[in-house]
Amino acid sequence: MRKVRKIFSILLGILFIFKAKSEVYALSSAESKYRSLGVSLEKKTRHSFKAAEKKIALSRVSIIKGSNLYAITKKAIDELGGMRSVVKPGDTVFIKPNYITGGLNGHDPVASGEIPHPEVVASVVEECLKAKAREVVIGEWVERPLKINFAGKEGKEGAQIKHLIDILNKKYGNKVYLINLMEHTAYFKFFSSKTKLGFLAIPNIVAEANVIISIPSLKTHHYPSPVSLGMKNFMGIMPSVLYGEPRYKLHEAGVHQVIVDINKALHPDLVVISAGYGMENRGASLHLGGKPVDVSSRIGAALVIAGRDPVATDATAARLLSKNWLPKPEDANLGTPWYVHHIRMAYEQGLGLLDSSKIIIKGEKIEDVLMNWQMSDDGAYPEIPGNEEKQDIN
Amino acid sequence: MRKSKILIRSLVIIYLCFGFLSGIGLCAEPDFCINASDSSGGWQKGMVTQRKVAFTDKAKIKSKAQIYVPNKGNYQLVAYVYHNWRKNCPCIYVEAIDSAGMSHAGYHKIENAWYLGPQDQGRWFFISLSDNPYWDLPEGIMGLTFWAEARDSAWGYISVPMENKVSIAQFFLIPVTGSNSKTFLSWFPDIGSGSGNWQICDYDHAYATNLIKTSEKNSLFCVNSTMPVTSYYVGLLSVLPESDGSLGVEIKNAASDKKSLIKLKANKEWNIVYMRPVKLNKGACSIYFKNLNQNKVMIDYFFLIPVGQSFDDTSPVTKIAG
Repeated sequence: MRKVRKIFSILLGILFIFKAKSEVYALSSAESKYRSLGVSLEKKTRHSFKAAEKKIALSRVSIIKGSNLYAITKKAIDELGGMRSVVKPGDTVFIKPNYITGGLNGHDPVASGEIPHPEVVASVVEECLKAKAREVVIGEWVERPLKINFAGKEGKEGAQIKHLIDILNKKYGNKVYLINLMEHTAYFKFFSSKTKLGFLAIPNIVAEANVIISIPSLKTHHYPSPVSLGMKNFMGIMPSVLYGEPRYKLHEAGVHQVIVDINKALHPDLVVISAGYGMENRGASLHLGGKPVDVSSRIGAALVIAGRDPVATDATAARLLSKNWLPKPEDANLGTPWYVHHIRMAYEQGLGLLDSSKIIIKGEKIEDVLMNWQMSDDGAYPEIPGNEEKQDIN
Repeated sequence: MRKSKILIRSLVIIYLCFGFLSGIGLCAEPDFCINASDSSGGWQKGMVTQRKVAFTDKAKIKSKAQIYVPNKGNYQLVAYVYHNWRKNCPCIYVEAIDSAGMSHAGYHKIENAWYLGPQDQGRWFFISLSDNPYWDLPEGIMGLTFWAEARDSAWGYISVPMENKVSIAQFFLIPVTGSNSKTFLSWFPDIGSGSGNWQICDYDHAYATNLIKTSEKNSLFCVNSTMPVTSYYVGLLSVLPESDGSLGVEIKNAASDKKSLIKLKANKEWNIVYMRPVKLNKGACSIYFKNLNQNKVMIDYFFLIPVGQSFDDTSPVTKIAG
């Protein structure tokens, strides 16, 4: 009887090993089906699990000052351990620059501070390619595809990004794409949302990328969000066919929690904030009353702020906009970002760190690069905890 | 013995017929798409940019339509809508009563087309009318009641007079596939995202949309897409041929390499061609269009709708465009 049991358990063991192996084979075969703009779900799932399991005790944020944006972007990433710590060989990278309102009136969206500087975007792309990314997709959901190009109209400075991408494609072999998500989305993947929507639909190209990078421009913003930084930038991937243009259904559902939910779903791997130019007062565009800021005119040179923790990175960027933001919170370590609903809520919901005593700053000290930016004059700031549900949009 | 011979012969004949028909690759209008022009009520019927539509320039005037929900499940209701407003924003409302008597609602304010030039006619939009990510619907006939209103802006709630007409060509019921944490909604990749020797037109004045067109025989165009799940998919093609001809469509995926031939008849209005369900694996998929004659053909959208792991193959099988 014992012998029978032994044989039975050996057989069971063999069966278990075989089954485990066949699952590995199944995964490999799914990965081999990877092709242009369609990545394997399994890969991103693995990344997401890692991010969710990771408990962060301290976060690093780099603040690099200089006149060569291409070089200081690379330095900002190097201070975090280099792009190889973010991108693994064969990964597909999705980069979300904040292009959404750039240059709609035909002006230069780079000098206006509406969009991140093309050199910052190109530098991040090149670091991804050096880390042997399989593909780098730069994308935005643009509802108005007609006659309006990415990053401003053709011939304007914003269109430089296309030129820089061409150069990188020549150098590294056609691995970089600049796409309108509205044209290329094949399906949406649903992620849970704490809002009344219950779920949020995210374009497949973003949801299933291995690495996700946010590149905003340093901007204040009109009501109902005082700043437009790394986390809020992802509003620009959300499909207007479902949520309306300009995404009013997400605002109606509670935009602060929506921003947190999108970031929970995506777990952005890196945030790089472009601050050669920026925008103060009623950002996020000239059209809405934003005022361009040449950062060099305030602190003598441009800045790039980068971090792997989106909450800590946005919180740091918010801190260096102005030391005079009021009211001062009781806990000085929480500071300005505590009064931005989506940053505070992301921190409270475990997406990253906000307490300045737990954020290690590499490069410039915050007090050396503090800038006196105007907040939006429509009462967007401060957002007092407790009124998060207030969502009047006008 | 004789009986069995007759049976075998009948089976061979059925097989041959089926083979021929599947080569044509078209099917009858599936359940998930209805023409708004087939509705009844206060909306008028007409043509806009050579499409049959239901239209209105009066706020809160209602029309009714019916759409068949083929299986119990989750669905998005999507409409293909046209307007040429430059100042205010049209808002489309819908109320649906499903076969179990449950009510569902939705709306969509459409941004005005401020970015178009004065000579541009307007623009066609795909919009979702489901308030939530999807509606949970039972099988059976669902009644739709729809109407339009005007708002001062896409953000705004202030009611203003209708600036002009607003038109609806079709309503689509798009199944949401998957379950629990992995649910997907198939979407309509822009046909202009493809490449080939057809001409890509970002905005065509006459048709108020983006499209691809060709007049060359054997010109080829390829659109790449990605399937969220392994399933049968029905292809929907919106096509306008200016003269008789035929169009080859090939759908290539790890599970399938399906070629279809669509006979085109000269027409003055856009047609939707429904293609026989094709099984496609989750993952990459390429769709090729080949103009087989020396005639002018335009396509403004093509999409693949998942219809499940199996499908009823007894439906009528040919619908010739035109």
